[in-house]
Amino acid sequence: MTPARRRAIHDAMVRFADGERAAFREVFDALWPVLLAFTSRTLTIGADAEDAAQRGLLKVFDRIADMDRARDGVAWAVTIAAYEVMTLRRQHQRRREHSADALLAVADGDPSPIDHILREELRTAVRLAIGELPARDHPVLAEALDEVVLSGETERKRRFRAFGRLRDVWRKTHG
Amino acid sequence: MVDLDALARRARRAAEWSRVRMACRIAAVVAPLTLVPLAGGASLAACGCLGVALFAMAAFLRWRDRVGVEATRDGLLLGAVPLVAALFLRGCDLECASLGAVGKAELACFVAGAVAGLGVTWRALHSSAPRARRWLLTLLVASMTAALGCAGLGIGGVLSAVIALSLVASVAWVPAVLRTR
Repeated sequence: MTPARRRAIHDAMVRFADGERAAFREVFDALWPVLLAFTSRTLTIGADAEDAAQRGLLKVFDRIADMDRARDGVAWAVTIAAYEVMTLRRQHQRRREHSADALLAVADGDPSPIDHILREELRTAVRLAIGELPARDHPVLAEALDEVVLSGETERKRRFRAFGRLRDVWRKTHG
Repeated sequence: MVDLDALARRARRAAEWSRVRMACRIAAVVAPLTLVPLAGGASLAACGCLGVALFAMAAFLRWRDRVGVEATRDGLLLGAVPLVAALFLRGCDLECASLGAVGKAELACFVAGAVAGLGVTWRALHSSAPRARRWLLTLLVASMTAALGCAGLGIGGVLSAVIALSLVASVAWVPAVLRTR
Protein backbone atom coordinates (compact mmCIF):
# COMPACT_ATOMS: atom_id res chain seq x y z
CA MET A 1 0.00 0.00 0.00
CA THR A 2 1.37 3.41 -0.94
CA PRO A 3 1.63 6.18 1.67
CA ALA A 4 -0.84 8.26 -0.38
CA ARG A 5 -3.42 5.46 -0.32
CA ARG A 6 -2.85 4.95 3.39
CA ARG A 7 -3.37 8.68 3.96
CA ALA A 8 -6.56 8.63 1.86
CA ILE A 9 -8.01 5.77 3.94
CA HIS A 10 -7.04 7.54 7.17
CA ASP A 11 -8.69 10.76 5.99
CA ALA A 12 -11.88 8.89 5.07
CA MET A 13 -11.89 7.26 8.51
CA VAL A 14 -11.49 10.65 10.19
CA ARG A 15 -14.32 12.12 8.09
CA PHE A 16 -16.57 9.20 9.00
CA ALA A 17 -15.63 9.44 12.69
CA ASP A 18 -16.40 13.17 12.55
CA GLY A 19 -19.95 12.44 11.46
CA GLU A 20 -19.86 12.34 7.67
CA ARG A 21 -22.08 9.28 7.20
CA ALA A 22 -21.53 9.31 3.42
CA ALA A 23 -17.89 8.29 3.99
CA PHE A 24 -18.97 4.89 5.37
CA ARG A 25 -18.83 3.02 2.06
CA GLU A 26 -15.42 4.47 1.24
CA VAL A 27 -14.00 3.37 4.62
CA PHE A 28 -15.65 -0.04 4.42
CA ASP A 29 -14.49 -0.74 0.87
CA ALA A 30 -10.96 0.39 1.66
CA LEU A 31 -10.50 -1.40 4.99
CA TRP A 32 -12.01 -4.80 4.13
CA PRO A 33 -9.31 -5.86 1.61
CA VAL A 34 -6.54 -4.54 3.88
CA LEU A 35 -7.74 -6.50 6.90
CA LEU A 36 -8.50 -9.62 4.86
CA ALA A 37 -5.02 -9.55 3.31
CA PHE A 38 -3.49 -9.18 6.75
CA THR A 39 -5.47 -12.01 8.37
CA SER A 40 -4.89 -14.24 5.30
CA ARG A 41 -1.15 -13.77 5.72
CA THR A 42 -1.27 -14.69 9.39
CA LEU A 43 -3.87 -17.50 9.34
CA THR A 44 -3.49 -20.37 6.93
CA ILE A 45 -7.13 -21.48 6.88
CA GLY A 46 -9.16 -19.20 4.60
CA ALA A 47 -12.36 -19.38 6.67
CA ASP A 48 -10.47 -18.39 9.82
CA ALA A 49 -8.87 -15.47 8.00
CA GLU A 50 -12.27 -14.22 6.83
CA ASP A 51 -13.71 -14.70 10.31
CA ALA A 52 -10.89 -12.72 11.94
CA ALA A 53 -11.11 -9.97 9.31
CA GLN A 54 -14.88 -9.67 9.83
CA ARG A 55 -14.54 -9.46 13.60
CA GLY A 56 -11.71 -6.95 13.25
CA LEU A 57 -13.70 -4.76 10.86
CA LEU A 58 -16.76 -4.78 13.13
CA LYS A 59 -14.60 -3.84 16.11
CA VAL A 60 -13.05 -0.98 14.14
CA PHE A 61 -16.51 0.42 13.38
CA ASP A 62 -17.61 -0.27 16.95
CA ARG A 63 -14.84 2.04 18.19
CA ILE A 64 -14.78 4.51 15.32
CA ALA A 65 -16.23 7.40 17.37
CA ASP A 66 -13.31 7.14 19.80
CA MET A 67 -10.69 6.91 17.07
CA ASP A 68 -7.49 8.84 17.79
CA ARG A 69 -7.33 11.20 14.80
CA ALA A 70 -3.64 11.96 15.34
CA ARG A 71 -2.62 8.32 14.75
CA ASP A 72 -2.66 6.31 11.55
CA GLY A 73 -6.14 4.83 11.08
CA VAL A 74 -4.97 1.90 8.94
CA ALA A 75 -2.35 0.85 11.52
CA TRP A 76 -5.03 1.09 14.22
CA ALA A 77 -7.41 -1.12 12.20
CA VAL A 78 -4.66 -3.68 11.52
CA THR A 79 -3.77 -3.75 15.23
CA ILE A 80 -7.39 -4.57 16.08
CA ALA A 81 -7.36 -7.32 13.41
CA ALA A 82 -4.11 -8.68 14.89
CA TYR A 83 -5.83 -9.01 18.27
CA GLU A 84 -8.67 -10.87 16.58
CA VAL A 85 -6.14 -13.25 14.99
CA MET A 86 -4.60 -13.93 18.40
CA THR A 87 -8.04 -14.46 19.97
CA LEU A 88 -9.01 -16.89 17.22
CA ARG A 89 -5.77 -18.82 17.65
CA ARG A 90 -6.29 -19.07 21.40
CA GLN A 91 -9.88 -20.27 20.87
CA HIS A 92 -8.67 -22.95 18.46
CA GLN A 93 -6.00 -24.00 20.89
CA ARG A 94 -8.54 -24.37 23.71
CA ARG A 95 -11.04 -26.24 21.56
CA ARG A 96 -8.54 -28.70 20.11
CA GLU A 97 -8.99 -32.27 21.23
CA HIS A 98 -5.71 -34.03 21.85
CA SER A 99 -5.29 -37.52 20.45
CA ALA A 100 -3.05 -40.10 22.09
CA ASP A 101 -0.46 -39.60 19.34
CA ALA A 102 -0.41 -35.84 19.94
CA LEU A 103 0.00 -36.34 23.68
CA LEU A 104 2.81 -38.86 23.10
CA ALA A 105 4.50 -36.39 20.77
CA VAL A 106 4.39 -33.75 23.51
CA ALA A 107 5.85 -36.24 25.98
CA ASP A 108 8.62 -37.07 23.53
CA GLY A 109 9.36 -33.38 23.00
CA ASP A 110 8.32 -33.49 19.31
CA PRO A 111 6.90 -30.33 17.70
CA SER A 112 3.14 -30.00 18.32
CA PRO A 113 0.59 -29.44 15.50
CA ILE A 114 0.45 -25.76 16.48
CA ASP A 115 4.24 -25.59 16.11
CA HIS A 116 3.87 -27.04 12.61
CA ILE A 117 1.20 -24.47 11.72
CA LEU A 118 3.23 -21.58 13.12
CA ARG A 119 6.33 -22.77 11.27
CA GLU A 120 4.33 -23.07 8.06
CA GLU A 121 2.84 -19.58 8.50
CA LEU A 122 6.29 -18.14 9.13
CA ARG A 123 7.62 -19.95 6.08
CA THR A 124 4.78 -18.49 3.96
CA ALA A 125 5.52 -14.98 5.25
CA VAL A 126 9.23 -15.41 4.47
CA ARG A 127 8.44 -16.67 0.97
CA LEU A 128 6.22 -13.60 0.39
CA ALA A 129 9.08 -11.36 1.54
CA ILE A 130 11.51 -13.21 -0.75
CA GLY A 131 9.10 -12.58 -3.61
CA GLU A 132 9.73 -8.85 -3.22
CA LEU A 133 13.51 -9.26 -3.65
CA PRO A 134 15.41 -9.29 -6.98
CA ALA A 135 15.27 -12.62 -8.86
CA ARG A 136 18.99 -13.29 -8.30
CA ASP A 137 18.36 -13.66 -4.55
CA HIS A 138 15.56 -16.22 -4.91
CA PRO A 139 17.58 -19.44 -5.38
CA VAL A 140 20.08 -18.68 -2.64
CA LEU A 141 17.34 -17.86 -0.14
CA ALA A 142 15.21 -20.82 -1.21
CA GLU A 143 18.20 -23.04 -0.48
CA ALA A 144 18.54 -21.37 2.92
CA LEU A 145 14.88 -22.08 3.65
CA ASP A 146 15.42 -25.73 2.80
CA GLU A 147 18.43 -25.66 5.15
CA VAL A 148 20.97 -26.60 2.49
CA VAL A 149 24.52 -26.21 3.87
CA LEU A 150 26.79 -24.16 1.59
CA SER A 151 30.40 -24.99 1.05
CA GLY A 152 31.88 -22.25 -1.19
CA GLU A 153 32.95 -18.80 0.09
CA THR A 154 31.20 -17.01 -2.83
CA GLU A 155 27.93 -18.82 -2.11
CA ARG A 156 28.13 -17.87 1.55
CA LYS A 157 28.74 -14.19 0.67
CA ARG A 158 25.82 -14.21 -1.77
CA ARG A 159 23.58 -15.71 0.89
CA PHE A 160 24.79 -13.14 3.46
CA ARG A 161 23.96 -10.23 1.13
CA ALA A 162 20.60 -11.72 0.18
CA PHE A 163 19.75 -12.11 3.88
CA GLY A 164 20.59 -8.44 4.42
CA ARG A 165 18.11 -7.44 1.73
CA LEU A 166 15.51 -9.89 3.08
CA ARG A 167 15.91 -8.37 6.55
CA ASP A 168 15.15 -4.91 5.11
CA VAL A 169 12.03 -6.14 3.33
CA TRP A 170 10.89 -8.01 6.48
CA ARG A 171 11.37 -4.91 8.64
CA LYS A 172 9.39 -2.84 6.15
CA THR A 173 6.49 -5.34 6.08
CA HIS A 174 6.35 -6.62 9.65
CA GLY A 175 8.12 -3.89 11.58
CA MET B 1 -17.68 -16.59 1.22
CA VAL B 2 -18.40 -13.39 3.14
CA ASP B 3 -21.70 -11.59 2.50
CA LEU B 4 -20.27 -8.09 2.21
CA ASP B 5 -23.67 -6.36 2.17
CA ALA B 6 -24.68 -8.00 5.44
CA LEU B 7 -21.27 -7.19 6.90
CA ALA B 8 -21.63 -3.54 5.80
CA ARG B 9 -25.05 -3.35 7.48
CA ARG B 10 -23.63 -4.73 10.72
CA ALA B 11 -20.64 -2.39 10.51
CA ARG B 12 -22.91 0.62 9.97
CA ARG B 13 -25.03 -0.37 12.97
CA ALA B 14 -21.88 -0.86 15.09
CA ALA B 15 -20.64 2.60 14.07
CA GLU B 16 -23.95 4.22 15.06
CA TRP B 17 -23.88 2.52 18.46
CA SER B 18 -20.30 3.70 18.86
CA ARG B 19 -21.51 7.25 18.26
CA VAL B 20 -24.42 6.87 20.67
CA ARG B 21 -22.11 5.60 23.43
CA MET B 22 -19.68 8.44 22.81
CA ALA B 23 -22.55 10.99 22.83
CA CYS B 24 -24.07 9.67 26.07
CA ARG B 25 -20.78 9.95 27.93
CA ILE B 26 -21.60 13.67 28.24
CA ALA B 27 -23.89 12.62 31.11
CA ALA B 28 -20.75 12.51 33.25
CA VAL B 29 -20.47 16.30 32.80
CA VAL B 30 -24.15 17.27 32.69
CA ALA B 31 -25.06 15.35 35.87
CA PRO B 32 -22.66 17.28 38.14
CA LEU B 33 -23.71 20.55 36.44
CA THR B 34 -27.31 19.69 37.37
CA LEU B 35 -26.41 18.73 40.92
CA VAL B 36 -24.46 21.93 41.66
CA PRO B 37 -27.50 24.29 41.56
CA LEU B 38 -29.55 21.65 43.37
CA ALA B 39 -26.99 21.64 46.16
CA GLY B 40 -27.28 25.43 46.16
CA GLY B 41 -30.98 25.20 46.95
CA ALA B 42 -32.55 25.36 43.47
CA SER B 43 -35.90 23.69 42.79
CA LEU B 44 -35.63 19.99 41.97
CA ALA B 45 -38.26 20.21 39.20
CA ALA B 46 -36.59 23.16 37.44
CA CYS B 47 -33.10 21.65 37.68
CA GLY B 48 -34.36 18.21 36.62
CA CYS B 49 -36.15 19.58 33.54
CA LEU B 50 -33.23 21.79 32.50
CA GLY B 51 -30.71 19.03 33.20
CA VAL B 52 -32.61 16.47 31.10
CA ALA B 53 -33.09 18.99 28.28
CA LEU B 54 -29.41 19.93 28.36
CA PHE B 55 -28.37 16.28 28.32
CA ALA B 56 -30.72 15.49 25.42
CA MET B 57 -29.46 18.41 23.37
CA ALA B 58 -25.78 17.77 24.14
CA ALA B 59 -26.07 14.06 23.40
CA PHE B 60 -27.89 14.70 20.11
CA LEU B 61 -25.33 17.27 18.97
CA ARG B 62 -22.41 15.00 19.89
CA TRP B 63 -24.04 12.05 18.13
CA ARG B 64 -24.60 14.10 14.98
CA ASP B 65 -21.12 15.28 14.05
CA ARG B 66 -17.81 16.84 15.07
CA VAL B 67 -19.18 20.40 15.01
CA GLY B 68 -21.72 19.28 17.59
CA VAL B 69 -19.00 17.72 19.75
CA GLU B 70 -16.98 20.93 19.74
CA ALA B 71 -20.02 23.19 20.21
CA THR B 72 -21.16 21.11 23.19
CA ARG B 73 -17.72 21.24 24.79
CA ASP B 74 -17.45 25.02 24.37
CA GLY B 75 -21.09 25.64 25.28
CA LEU B 76 -20.81 23.72 28.54
CA LEU B 77 -17.55 25.47 29.44
CA LEU B 78 -18.85 28.95 28.68
CA GLY B 79 -22.25 28.28 30.26
CA ALA B 80 -20.38 27.34 33.41
CA VAL B 81 -19.36 31.03 33.84
CA PRO B 82 -22.89 32.17 34.88
CA LEU B 83 -23.24 28.89 36.79
CA VAL B 84 -20.17 29.66 38.90
CA ALA B 85 -21.32 33.27 39.34
CA ALA B 86 -24.73 32.04 40.52
CA LEU B 87 -23.10 29.64 42.93
CA PHE B 88 -21.01 32.49 44.35
CA LEU B 89 -24.10 34.69 44.72
CA ARG B 90 -25.93 31.90 46.52
CA GLY B 91 -22.91 31.57 48.80
CA CYS B 92 -23.28 35.27 49.60
CA ASP B 93 -27.00 34.72 50.36
CA LEU B 94 -28.06 36.86 47.41
CA GLU B 95 -31.25 36.05 45.54
CA CYS B 96 -33.18 37.65 42.74
CA ALA B 97 -35.66 40.38 43.49
CA SER B 98 -39.27 40.07 42.33
CA LEU B 99 -39.83 39.74 38.59
CA GLY B 100 -39.23 43.03 36.80
CA ALA B 101 -36.98 44.51 39.47
CA VAL B 102 -33.22 44.59 38.92
CA GLY B 103 -31.05 43.83 41.93
CA LYS B 104 -27.43 42.85 42.50
CA ALA B 105 -28.08 39.22 41.61
CA GLU B 106 -29.63 40.07 38.24
CA LEU B 107 -26.78 42.42 37.47
CA ALA B 108 -24.16 39.81 38.32
CA CYS B 109 -25.96 37.22 36.18
CA PHE B 110 -26.14 39.73 33.34
CA VAL B 111 -22.38 40.39 33.51
CA ALA B 112 -21.56 36.66 33.70
CA GLY B 113 -23.90 35.98 30.76
CA ALA B 114 -22.26 38.79 28.77
CA VAL B 115 -18.80 37.32 29.37
CA ALA B 116 -20.05 33.90 28.24
CA GLY B 117 -21.67 35.51 25.16
CA LEU B 118 -18.37 37.10 24.16
CA GLY B 119 -16.69 33.71 24.61
CA VAL B 120 -19.26 32.04 22.37
CA THR B 121 -18.55 34.43 19.50
CA TRP B 122 -14.80 34.32 20.04
CA ARG B 123 -14.72 30.50 19.99
CA ALA B 124 -16.92 30.32 16.88
CA LEU B 125 -14.74 32.82 15.02
CA HIS B 126 -11.61 30.79 15.79
CA SER B 127 -13.17 27.55 14.64
CA SER B 128 -12.36 25.77 11.38
CA ALA B 129 -15.89 24.33 11.18
CA PRO B 130 -18.78 26.23 9.48
CA ARG B 131 -18.77 29.24 11.78
CA ALA B 132 -22.42 30.28 11.73
CA ARG B 133 -23.59 26.79 12.65
CA ARG B 134 -20.90 26.42 15.26
CA TRP B 135 -21.85 29.80 16.78
CA LEU B 136 -25.53 28.95 16.95
CA LEU B 137 -25.00 25.50 18.51
CA THR B 138 -22.50 26.83 21.07
CA LEU B 139 -24.93 29.62 21.94
CA LEU B 140 -27.77 27.12 22.46
CA VAL B 141 -25.74 24.87 24.76
CA ALA B 142 -24.22 27.80 26.67
CA SER B 143 -27.65 29.40 27.17
CA MET B 144 -29.14 26.22 28.52
CA THR B 145 -26.16 25.64 30.83
CA ALA B 146 -26.39 29.23 32.05
CA ALA B 147 -30.14 28.83 32.67
CA LEU B 148 -29.46 25.67 34.64
CA GLY B 149 -26.74 27.39 36.66
CA CYS B 150 -28.87 30.41 37.53
CA ALA B 151 -31.99 28.37 38.35
CA GLY B 152 -31.16 28.57 42.05
CA LEU B 153 -31.37 32.38 42.03
CA GLY B 154 -34.83 32.60 40.55
CA ILE B 155 -36.38 33.45 37.22
CA GLY B 156 -34.82 36.92 37.20
CA GLY B 157 -31.32 35.47 37.28
CA VAL B 158 -32.10 32.93 34.57
CA LEU B 159 -33.56 35.57 32.26
CA SER B 160 -30.70 38.03 32.91
CA ALA B 161 -28.03 35.46 32.12
CA VAL B 162 -29.73 34.04 29.03
CA ILE B 163 -30.68 37.45 27.59
CA ALA B 164 -27.19 38.86 28.20
CA LEU B 165 -25.55 35.80 26.69
CA SER B 166 -27.65 35.86 23.51
CA LEU B 167 -27.55 39.63 23.16
CA VAL B 168 -23.80 40.06 23.62
CA ALA B 169 -23.03 37.02 21.44
CA SER B 170 -25.23 38.44 18.64
CA VAL B 171 -23.90 41.98 18.96
CA ALA B 172 -20.31 40.70 18.84
CA TRP B 173 -21.06 38.27 16.02
CA VAL B 174 -22.32 40.73 13.38
CA PRO B 175 -19.29 43.11 13.21
CA ALA B 176 -16.83 40.24 13.63
CA VAL B 177 -18.32 38.40 10.66
CA LEU B 178 -18.48 41.56 8.54
CA ARG B 179 -14.82 42.29 9.33
CA THR B 180 -13.59 38.79 8.47
CA ARG B 181 -15.47 38.67 5.12
